[in-house]
Amino acid sequence: MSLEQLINDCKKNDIKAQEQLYKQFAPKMFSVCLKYSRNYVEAQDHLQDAFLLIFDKINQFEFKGSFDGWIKKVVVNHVLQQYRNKTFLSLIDEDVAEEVEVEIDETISMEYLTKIIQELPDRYRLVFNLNVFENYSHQEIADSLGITVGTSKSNLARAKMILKDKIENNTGSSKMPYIK
Amino acid sequence: MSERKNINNLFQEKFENFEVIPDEIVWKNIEDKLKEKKKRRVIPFWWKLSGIAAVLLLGFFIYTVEFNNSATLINNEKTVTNKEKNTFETAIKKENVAKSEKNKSVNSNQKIIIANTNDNSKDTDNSKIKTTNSIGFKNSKPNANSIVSSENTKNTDVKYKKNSNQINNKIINLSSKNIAFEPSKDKKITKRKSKVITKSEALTSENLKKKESSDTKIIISSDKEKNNAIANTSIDKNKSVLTQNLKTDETINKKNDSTKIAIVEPNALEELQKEKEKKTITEPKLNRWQISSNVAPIYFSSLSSGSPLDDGLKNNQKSYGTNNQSYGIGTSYALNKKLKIRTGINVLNVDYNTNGITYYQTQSVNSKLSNLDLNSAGSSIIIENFSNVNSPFNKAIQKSEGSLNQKLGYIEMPLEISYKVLDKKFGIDFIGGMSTMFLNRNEIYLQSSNLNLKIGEANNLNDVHFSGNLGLGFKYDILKHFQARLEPMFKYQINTFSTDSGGFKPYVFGVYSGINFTF
Repeated sequence: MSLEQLINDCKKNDIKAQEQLYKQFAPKMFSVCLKYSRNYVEAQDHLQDAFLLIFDKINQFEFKGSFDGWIKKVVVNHVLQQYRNKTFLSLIDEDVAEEVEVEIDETISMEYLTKIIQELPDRYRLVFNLNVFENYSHQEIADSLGITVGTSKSNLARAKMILKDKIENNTGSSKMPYIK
Repeated sequence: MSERKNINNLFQEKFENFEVIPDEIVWKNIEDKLKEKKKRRVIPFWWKLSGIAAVLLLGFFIYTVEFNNSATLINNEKTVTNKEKNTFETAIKKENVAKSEKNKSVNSNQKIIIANTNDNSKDTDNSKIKTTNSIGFKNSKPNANSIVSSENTKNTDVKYKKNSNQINNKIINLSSKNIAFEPSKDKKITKRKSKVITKSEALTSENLKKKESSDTKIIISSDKEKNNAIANTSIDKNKSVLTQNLKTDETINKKNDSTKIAIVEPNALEELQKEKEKKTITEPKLNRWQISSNVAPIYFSSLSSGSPLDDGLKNNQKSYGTNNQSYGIGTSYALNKKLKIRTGINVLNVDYNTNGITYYQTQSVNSKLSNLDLNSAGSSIIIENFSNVNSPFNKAIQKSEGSLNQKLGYIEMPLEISYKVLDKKFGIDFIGGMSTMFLNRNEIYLQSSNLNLKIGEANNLNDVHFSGNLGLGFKYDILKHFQARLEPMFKYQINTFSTDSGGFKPYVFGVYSGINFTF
């Protein structure tokens, strides 16, 4: 079945088509959620809610542009919204060099890299993700998060410094809290 | 092996084809919610229908109320007409009695009355009255009166309207003569009266068109003062005057009583009628006692944003449970037709979440939340407001986000008064009162997507507190003694917390429904 056919079936609330669409896009979107969220569980929540949103809004997709782009935008926007209203720590804006080089061990695990992104404070993480993975300009980031361009720049620089520190020292914890 | 890399490039490269398959549970949850949504889509259709039904019901209800009002008016009018009839009948009855007495003793007044009845039979084309009159004559039986009245009832109102003016005028005429010529008066007067009789008997042969003039003849033979009065009344044919006439007639009848001519109680029939009417008014027996069942979905919430757990959580978002409910039984006693006093016993369970908290495991600690006593399971968990955690570089401790779920259970004993504003098949009540709440459940759970752990209880809840209740009651009669009931009630909680409520002002809104049994 073509993607177009699948989308059209989803528009008719066909649960089988929705499942198929989910199976096709969930791994990619879950990786996005993992990068934007604080932890695995939160990422799952965001993925779940984002897909519900996708199925709710799929009628608005009119085959202009790629479906991949559209679906990713819905997911990212949804996650941003979850953190946008949370109170951020206000930090003094300062100019920090944007180009950060890092000494890296090639064997470093994806799990570890994901973890250290998740461990970033909310806004650092969002700014970092938007800039590095979505290629947003600082102006675009500032607009989406409701912050100033300066703050965006400063947050990005600080995020990079934290990541660099963690990569080079390999100090990020990699275990989830375990309470049962 | 390590190399230097631009951090942007590093992450872009590493994450380029990064895909993670989420847990099965995610799709399960999505599927459940999608199905739920599909189910929910059916609801608007029912909402529409019930909306239409509600409008129809309301329309019908308004129509019924309006219609009943006008029906009452019509009934009243009928009653008036009946009363007119009654008076008229009474008059005739009296005449008959008088006639029957005539056989025994000759009295001048009775003669006049005979003249009156003759007039009556002449004026009315109605042969029935004639017949009944004659029955009264021949038999002189007590039940002759009832025959008269039953026969008369068969006559149409129109006939009465036609006749009553004439007849009543004459009754006035003649009765007033009765007053004028009391039995103690001398024989001359009696002779004069008998002249009147003769004249009025002569009238019997005349046709209806000559009524007015024949009246005048009678009047001529009477004295002139009366003449004027009769002329006036015979000209006036409208209803109000008729009624007045009838009233005058009644008073005259009473005067006749005083002369002790009429032996039969003049208002006996009327009184019977009145008694009947009274009976129909007092007939609906008031069932004072009522037993009812109660079940209600409860919406528990707060009028303000505070937190009863800790001051630090007052700005955290609270979400209120949607599965809260109350159930129980009630009884009520009707003080009168409008007012009821009611009580009962209900079980009430509510809960709410304080969101945006973070928790992490550590060595045994005291609670960081002032109004929360931790149990053994909770004593190793630190719970904090998420926004308080400002140590982004804290590497040693992993924190998770979750919510605190506080569960409260009460035994509720309401004491309320309800006032009926509408009492038909469908009824509406205003309800007000208070409830006494006895705490029987006090639990706090720590919840997150992978955790639901009872960690302790609140230490600031009163064992007993109260609520102010206000609501509306709708009932619908289904059987003679059974009613369906729906009562949206607002219950504002008073004195829920012993020490620090943290500005939390809880209230309960419930839509109580159930069945009433009245006896």
